[in-house]
Amino acid sequence: MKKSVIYTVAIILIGAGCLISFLLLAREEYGEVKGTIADALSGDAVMQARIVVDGKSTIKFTSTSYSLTEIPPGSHTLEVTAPNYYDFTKPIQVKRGKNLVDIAMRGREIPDLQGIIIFTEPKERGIEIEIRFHDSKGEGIVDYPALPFTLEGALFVREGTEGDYEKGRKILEGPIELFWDSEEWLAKNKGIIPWDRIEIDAEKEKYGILQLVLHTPQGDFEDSSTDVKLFREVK
Amino acid sequence: MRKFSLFFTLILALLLGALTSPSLAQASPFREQLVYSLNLFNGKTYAPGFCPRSEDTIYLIANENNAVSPRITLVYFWPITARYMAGFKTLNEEIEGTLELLKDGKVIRSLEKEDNVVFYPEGFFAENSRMYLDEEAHAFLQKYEKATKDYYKRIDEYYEKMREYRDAFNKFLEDLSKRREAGEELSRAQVEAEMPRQPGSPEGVRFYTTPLAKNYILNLPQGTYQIRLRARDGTIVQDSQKNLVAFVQRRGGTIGYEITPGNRWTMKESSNDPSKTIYAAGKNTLYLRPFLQDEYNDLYYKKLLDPQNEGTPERWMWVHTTPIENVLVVLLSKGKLLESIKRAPYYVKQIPGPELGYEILEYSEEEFAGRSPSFEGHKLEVSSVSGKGNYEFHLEKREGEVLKGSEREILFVKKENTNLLHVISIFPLIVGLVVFVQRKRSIS
Repeated sequence: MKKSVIYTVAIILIGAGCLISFLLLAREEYGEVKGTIADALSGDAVMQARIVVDGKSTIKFTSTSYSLTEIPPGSHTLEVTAPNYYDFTKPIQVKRGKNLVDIAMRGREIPDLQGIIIFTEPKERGIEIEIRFHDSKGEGIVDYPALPFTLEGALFVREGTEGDYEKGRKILEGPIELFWDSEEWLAKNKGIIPWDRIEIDAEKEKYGILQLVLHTPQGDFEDSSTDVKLFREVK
Repeated sequence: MRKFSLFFTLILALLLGALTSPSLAQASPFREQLVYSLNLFNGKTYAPGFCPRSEDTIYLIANENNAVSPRITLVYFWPITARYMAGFKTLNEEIEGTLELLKDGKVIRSLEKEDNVVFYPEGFFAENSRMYLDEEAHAFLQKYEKATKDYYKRIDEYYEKMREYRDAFNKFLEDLSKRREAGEELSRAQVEAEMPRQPGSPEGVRFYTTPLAKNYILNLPQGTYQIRLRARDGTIVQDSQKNLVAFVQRRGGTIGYEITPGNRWTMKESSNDPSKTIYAAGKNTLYLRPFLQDEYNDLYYKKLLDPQNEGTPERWMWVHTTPIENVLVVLLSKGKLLESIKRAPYYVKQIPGPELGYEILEYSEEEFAGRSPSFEGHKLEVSSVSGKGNYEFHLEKREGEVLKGSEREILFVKKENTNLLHVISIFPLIVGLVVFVQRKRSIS
């Protein structure tokens, strides 16, 4: 009696195992192409990225992962397009099951870029420079890719009163470190002048004048700020 | 045995740990997803909703205009209601393309987006609305815009009249005091007759039309279909494939009642089946609202209201569609006419203080100025102690013209000799006691 129960349970288990394996195999008739899609320089999500493989497409806005299912096994071309980015094309060999393909999109341009506006703020690390882009209508540009920029500038001590001043002693000249701030909306590109790069008389030299040039693939853009705080703000 | 109890304790501890874990009470992170935004006809009005990726079928009523729109949004799981929620305010991107309608795997129609509006003839909060497309949609929108513009014009005129009225009233008061000072004696009736009349405020626009929307419109005969979105570049958009069930009612046009009991007015009940009896006990005040109703499959209809709802395919449910107005509820007892009751508005007045109760009063504009009625209905007062026995009621359009299927019976649950029930409930205990005593005796 006991043996027959054991045999019955074993047969049911083996049968269920076979059924599950069959279903899994049948499901894996197709391949799934999945992976990450991000800006090559910043690692941010690529707005309106359209990923196409074998007549199937998906669109991504804020997500850095994608998946395309039911792709027949074999050779295919993965094509990705997104506004303001270079097209991405890659031949891929799709197998049954999961196929990992990570996509790094290279930025092409900032749309209708006409100029920059800078703002400065003293932070713990140094003087932070916000770089905002504006278009031909004078409006701030919001969605744009990360591009290989370089920044250089000169910082002078501001001499005189707030309404009547002139450039004084030059306290910095040369390249300025750039970094990308994903959390920002308008000013994702930022520069930083570390405190140890400038030597000032903290008692007398409170404000500075900053002149900047941003070198971009779309040309050089200049702007200046006349009220750069040369001191750490106490909070 | 010891091993088993150890294993069991471990499993129990794990389960308890999982259940008390704070992560269970937190919403899952936002995930970008293609969903279908829905504006579906539910038999009486249009209700918005969305179909997340987790649901593979959209249910809709056949032969009616239903609007769907594939969109990319952020979806998160809300554990309190165990439902996926859409964050349309954070991300709401329309996907351009052609919606393909398939039947048995073949494309039978390719749909482009159409202009549409939803028209509420009795205002946005009323219970019925219709969807209009293209030229009709534009016409209904213009009608609403014109009515709104005219209303604002009337408002301006009203403010001007109010200003004139205030000036006239101040002048009237000045004249009145001068006349009194001069020794003129004026009666109250005389003063009231000479007093300037306050202008009435203009009536607002009663109907409402939604702003113009562009969606794919599905107006399909009964059956099962599939939909998918073909992007402008000819590709099929991932996760856009859904099954579609267009269903019809099993029975329609019968009469159902929404019943508001006077002693708990927020707990509405219904009497939908003509063969069903309404049970009451003691003295009751019931407020009835008759409706035309349709009977739908429980699963289909609940999934229509929200694709994440659960339902039972073997069950059927009644849905009240159109309120029946301009009828009388005729109350009878033993076939003898007791009362013909008109529909009337009622106002629920909260009783302040520790009683925390309320009373339902007949609404009148003079008495409750600036307030709207809480509900409307035909008021029935029935009592088991009146000696009239059970009651019947039905609807009459005109005198003697009974609306078919509107008949219902009110039966009173008798409260006499209810103590017998307590005796019956003790019976199993007595049997148990007898068995126990007998067994004890046989052992000893």
